[in-house]
Amino acid sequence: MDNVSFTPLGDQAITVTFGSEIQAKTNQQVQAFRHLLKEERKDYIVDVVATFTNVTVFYDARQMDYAEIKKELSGLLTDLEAYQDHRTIYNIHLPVWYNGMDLERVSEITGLTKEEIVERHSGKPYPIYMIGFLPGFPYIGGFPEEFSIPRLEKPRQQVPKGSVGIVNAQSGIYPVSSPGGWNIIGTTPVELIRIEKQYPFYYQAGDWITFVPIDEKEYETILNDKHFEPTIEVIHHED
Amino acid sequence: MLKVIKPGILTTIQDQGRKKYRSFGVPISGVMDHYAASCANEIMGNSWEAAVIEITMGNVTFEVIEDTELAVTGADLNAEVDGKPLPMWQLIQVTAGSQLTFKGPKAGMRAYLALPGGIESERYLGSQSVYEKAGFGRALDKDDRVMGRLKNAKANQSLEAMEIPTYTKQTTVRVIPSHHEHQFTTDSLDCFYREGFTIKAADRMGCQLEGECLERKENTDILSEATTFGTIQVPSEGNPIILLADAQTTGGYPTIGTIVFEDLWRVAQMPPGGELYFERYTISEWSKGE
Repeated sequence: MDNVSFTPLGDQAITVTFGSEIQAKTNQQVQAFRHLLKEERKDYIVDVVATFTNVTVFYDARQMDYAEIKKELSGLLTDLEAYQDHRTIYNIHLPVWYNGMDLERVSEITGLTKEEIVERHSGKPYPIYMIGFLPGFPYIGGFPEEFSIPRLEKPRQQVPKGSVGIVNAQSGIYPVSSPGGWNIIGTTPVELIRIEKQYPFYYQAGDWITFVPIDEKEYETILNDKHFEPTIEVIHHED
Repeated sequence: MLKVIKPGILTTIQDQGRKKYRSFGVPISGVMDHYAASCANEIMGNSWEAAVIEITMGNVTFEVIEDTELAVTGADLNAEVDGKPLPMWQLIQVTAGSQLTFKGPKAGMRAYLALPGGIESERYLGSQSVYEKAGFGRALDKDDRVMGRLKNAKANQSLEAMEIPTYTKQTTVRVIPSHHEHQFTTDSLDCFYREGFTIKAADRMGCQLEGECLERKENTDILSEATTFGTIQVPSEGNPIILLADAQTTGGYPTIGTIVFEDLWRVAQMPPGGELYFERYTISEWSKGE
């Protein structure tokens, strides 16, 4: 692949860049490469972080130097095209009570009614481009351009756990309370980090999220149900 | 076994970190000074990855509940056993009823206390490193008890004098340039690698620096991408921030480079007001094996 570049991130990681803009095609390559690396289970690979346009591979610097890892990854890149068909994607149906403190602001900026905002945000699967900023915080893309609104000018000191926000035609979810500047439109009652589990997260980059509108009563019910699990659909990827 | 009498500002159990969950947005955490922590383990014959207690700046007191061996390394926090100086960087024996105090920093910022077999505590995502934000354990509090996994140390290793670092208020660390380097003006890059930067504030997430302002050719942020322990971000106002153990796993500010892993302890031990210098270090594109 000629559009791919390699750069070091310190002396224990290497970043493989596939493009310079947020594009579905670029992110598909990013996700496919991440899945490929995961499946290869190379013992010199410690962790792989996929973002909008690149994949960062943390490697065991005791086993391999930068030049060696670069060569290894170049080799694996040639397998990428053939690989794309096999991966499995999960579509997580995540209930959201659209009660957000910034709904009015979003309505003012976009000119959409509350109902129109909910309709455009929910009911169909949107792809997770990357996870970052906080444990389990997804950057979900593919929303209409109408959602291209900026962050709050002054970030909040504390955005409550479960808050669902939008910024720049993307949506994100705060799995833990944190300072933050996203426009909050709703709240999910689902516990997104299950610290007692071996795999505490429902989703990873490359999966999809479908927001499901619920009312206050359903919100309370799910919040108090310790055994609640969101519906997870298995989708076989076809390019 | 030790009991916490005074927990200080931040006393936490840390091991080598949670390295396999960055893709889920989970910081690596782990000890801030890998060198001092692994020395503490080595002295006792523990696995180098074993969990230790990280003590930040002191004002900490432990009471010894059962006789034990222990080793303290890292920053000189004026540690005492029953009012007498605690010998650091070696195995010592303490007896029930004794008080261990870490009064305050003389040199460096973080001390490490190892117990036989490593500290016993709950694991979250395969690691004992405390990361409170996600509920992965919590900082030690008054009356908490900590114990080692073994009754006695497996070894009593002494370190060579040359293996014990000195902690100074001025130091130089090597930086591997980032692929955003071209976004900075040539003058700013020259300045970054020539002038000293003062540490304004630091915690386990990051270290804020102050110095000559770094200018970018264009004032645009980047698409968020992976960062790591040691990555130096430059927000638009121009003062660099070094991301540390508990930092977020991705960032949207342009980065100037990432500090060489071996040099990170120097940053971890620098007090506020300390001065950091950076040396540009390019990693070889050519394998040693070829």
